[in-house]
Parts: sequence; structure tokens; C-alpha cells
Amino acid sequence: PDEYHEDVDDDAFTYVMARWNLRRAADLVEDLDGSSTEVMAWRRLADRIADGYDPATGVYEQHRGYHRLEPLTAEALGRVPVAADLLLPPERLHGSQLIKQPDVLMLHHLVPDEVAPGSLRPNLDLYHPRTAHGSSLSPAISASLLARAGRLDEAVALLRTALRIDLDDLTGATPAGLHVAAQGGAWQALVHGFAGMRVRAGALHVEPAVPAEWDGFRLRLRCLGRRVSLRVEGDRALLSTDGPLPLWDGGRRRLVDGEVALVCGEDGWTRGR
Amino acid sequence: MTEIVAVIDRTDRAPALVAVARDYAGALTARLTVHDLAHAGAAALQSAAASPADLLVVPADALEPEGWAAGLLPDCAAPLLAVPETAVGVGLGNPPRVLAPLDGTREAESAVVAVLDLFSGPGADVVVLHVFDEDTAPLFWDQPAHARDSWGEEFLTRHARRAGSRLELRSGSAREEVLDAARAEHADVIALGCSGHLAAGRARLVRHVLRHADVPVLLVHPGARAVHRPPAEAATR
Repeated sequence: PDEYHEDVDDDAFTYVMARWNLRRAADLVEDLDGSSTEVMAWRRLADRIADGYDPATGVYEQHRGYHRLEPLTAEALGRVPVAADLLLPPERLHGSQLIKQPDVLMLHHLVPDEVAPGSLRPNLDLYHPRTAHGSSLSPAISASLLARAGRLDEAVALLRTALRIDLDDLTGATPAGLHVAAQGGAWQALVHGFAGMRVRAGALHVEPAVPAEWDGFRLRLRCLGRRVSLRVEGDRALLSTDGPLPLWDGGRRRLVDGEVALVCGEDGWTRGR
Repeated sequence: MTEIVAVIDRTDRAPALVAVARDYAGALTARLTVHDLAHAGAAALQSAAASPADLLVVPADALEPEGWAAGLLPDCAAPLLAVPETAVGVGLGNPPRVLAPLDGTREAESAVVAVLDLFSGPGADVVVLHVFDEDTAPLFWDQPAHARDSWGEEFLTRHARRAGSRLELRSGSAREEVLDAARAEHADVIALGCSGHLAAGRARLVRHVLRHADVPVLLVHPGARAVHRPPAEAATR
């Protein structure tokens, strides 16, 4: 995703996605045809992929040598977002740690179960200040991740930017076409970020976070073949489905149907008792 | 008829400035009047400022804050053509090639309009220049090739609609990029919008270009009147 560093080796995003693809393909093939020598080879290969993760720091090195680049942050260029490639000569840009949009952090958005548990915050701490958001897709994804990490004020600010890209013509070229992918990213920020909704092992996980400046929020979507709505106010939520829906409830998988009250407690969001 | 008024001071550089003014008069089919400060004093300047000229031609250094023409700029209703000493012998091409830096402000836009009005007879090859810096760089630049085309097209539509011109995009210091682009594009003249105040700390781009340009600089006040066109030209627009 980071177009400021393209000619690189051992790119973490590439390797982790390759690993995810190998494992996911193995799962799918095994579901259909059972295991085989080839499928087992895929899994062994996936297990051997080196992804640049350092357990001591919790950080993935974006690509080989990234940590030795100039530690330039986006704010050093002035206002953020900024198209850094219009301000810096290519040599300086490529030699710096500035990134155009979430790259390692994109893994935490796309395949959160494929990255090391607990690694979101240390990677946000490192990469978010270095993100120039030179892509119109970047603010929404960053908003989602910041919301999941509990940095809600920052998340709301970037969500607002994402939502207003075309309303305020922030690209200077909205008449050339709406930024539909950015709009989709904003939707993802609400669903995956603020609502904390994910499907894991065939069941819906819900973990909302309401920013202080919001009274609450409400979503409607389709999930696992069901029409689902979620209404969140503070530490309480109401989940509604139009049919049986597998739901993670405090670490247990349950089948819910109709309206389900959820509360936020010590064990996270669970069904209200 | 289009009227050009040239104001000269020292005798030794007067011929060169008059030659530039004559070149413009020929290209624009204009009548040229020359006022000589050395002979008529301040009255020459007052007369020039009060005249219904479509273009005033003066030496560039006379527009410095302490120069004798500095007072012309704030209230000048006509575009000013400032001729640097290094612009001696720089004539207008056929068609004239104009470098028009545009930062998206009304001042800069007025310069483009004035250029198109002034050169509506012979036509002009207008190169619009926009320099990205920390104040003007877009927030987002998605896919560079696509972004450049769509952003550039929209920028010209919004700020240089009549120009039919091409857009040159650069990054860096506007002061240096304007001069470099003028050389690279072989511009005959640089057109700049100017609010009229060239005191220290203001209009840094204009002052820098006036001091270092190798070609005449057309300064346009946002309130400058449109160039008078002969009835025949007006009827065909």
C-alpha cells in the first residue's frame, strides 16, 4: 500500500498476505476435498514465511531496512494529510520513513487474526505519525484502527476527513469523479472500527467504542446472510437480526435471534443479563 | 486603438526600454506614447498614470519600494510591463509565449485574464504554472498519473477557463520555479497578479521575479481595467 517505498525487499505486508492466502487456500481446499500433500506443503510454507515481526517491540518492520531510514514524521511537512510526494524530491522521500498510507497497519485492518496479538498499538505508535495520508483511502483506514485501539478522538477527526473528502472537495478534483473507495473506507471505519464488528470463525464479534462527542450511533448491514442492526449508546448496545446468527459472547459462541442486549463489562461486550 | 505608454528615466537605458515598448506596440497594433522623466519630471509620471493607457511600460527597478514608479502600482488601472535591464533585446515571439504563474488566488487569475485580453489580437501561447509548496500542495494525490490529469484539468477550469493553455506543475520554491520555468519554456513575458504593494515583507514572489527575471514582467492589479479593443476586434469576439 505504501507507494513511497516500492522498490523494496522483504515487505511485511506482502509476506503476511502471502501467508494468509496460503493458509486460507489450505482451509478452503480442505473443506472441499480434505487434506493432501500439496495442501500440507502450503501450510508448511506459510509457517516458514518470515514477516519482519520483532516480539521484543511488537513491531513489524515495513520492509528490510525501514528502521534505518530518516525518521521523518508527517507533521514535519506541515498540515496533515499532505501529498508528501509533491513536496519532497523522490530521493528524500524514498529515503525517509514517511509512508503514504497504512501499510503494516493495513494488515491489522484486513487480516487482524494473522498478525501478532496485541501488536496493533505498538505499530500504531510507530507508523501513524509517519503516515502522510497522501492517499484519499488512508484517513478512513487509520480512523478504523485508531478506534479499535481506543484513540477515539483521533479516530473521529480522521473519520470526519474521510467523510468530507468529496463534500468539501478536499482533492481539488471531485468534479472528475467521486471517491467511492474512500466512501467505502468510511463505512468500514464505522463497522470495523467504531462498532468493532468482525466475523471470526463463522461468528460475529461485536466490540463497539463510542467517542465522547457522540451520544451513540446506529448501523444496519448484512452479515452471515442476515440483516443486522446495531444501536450503541455508551456502554450498552442493542443487536437485532432477522434470523439465527452466530455471535461471540464473552469468548463463547452462541446462536442469537431477534433482539439481543449487549453491555460492556470486564469481559468486554457480552449479552446483558 | 490599444494605447501603450512608456515612461523612461536615464538616457542610457531609455532606447532599450523604448525598443521593448515598440515591439509590443507592433505586436498589439497599438499606439505608443513615450514620457521622459528626464525632460518632464514628475509631471510625466502623473500624466502616464492618468492616461487611459492599456499598458504602461516602465523599468523594473523603478518599481522597487524606493523607486520613482513605486507609487504607480497601487492605483494603476492598467497592467504594468516592468522591463529588467537584462531583458534588453527580448522581443515577443509569434505568437507571444507567456508564463502565467497561478496559485489559485484572484490576483493571479486577474493576470491571466489581462494577458488574454492584451494578446487577444495576435493570440498568445499561455503556459500556466502552478507550484506546489506546503501551502498549496493538495491533501491527497492518489495515483500520480491520474491525479495529475484530473487535478490539472480542474485547476485550469476553475482558474484559467479562457486560457486554452497548458499547465506546468512543479514543486518547491515558487520564486525559483517561476524563473526556472520561464527559462525552460522560453517565455517572452511573465504575467503576475499584484495587489500593488511591494514594500519589504510583501509580494515576495513579485519582488524576486522583478529583480531576477530575464524577460519583461507583466504586473496586473486585480482591479485593472480590461484592455480596450478596436471596434473591429470587439465585434469578432
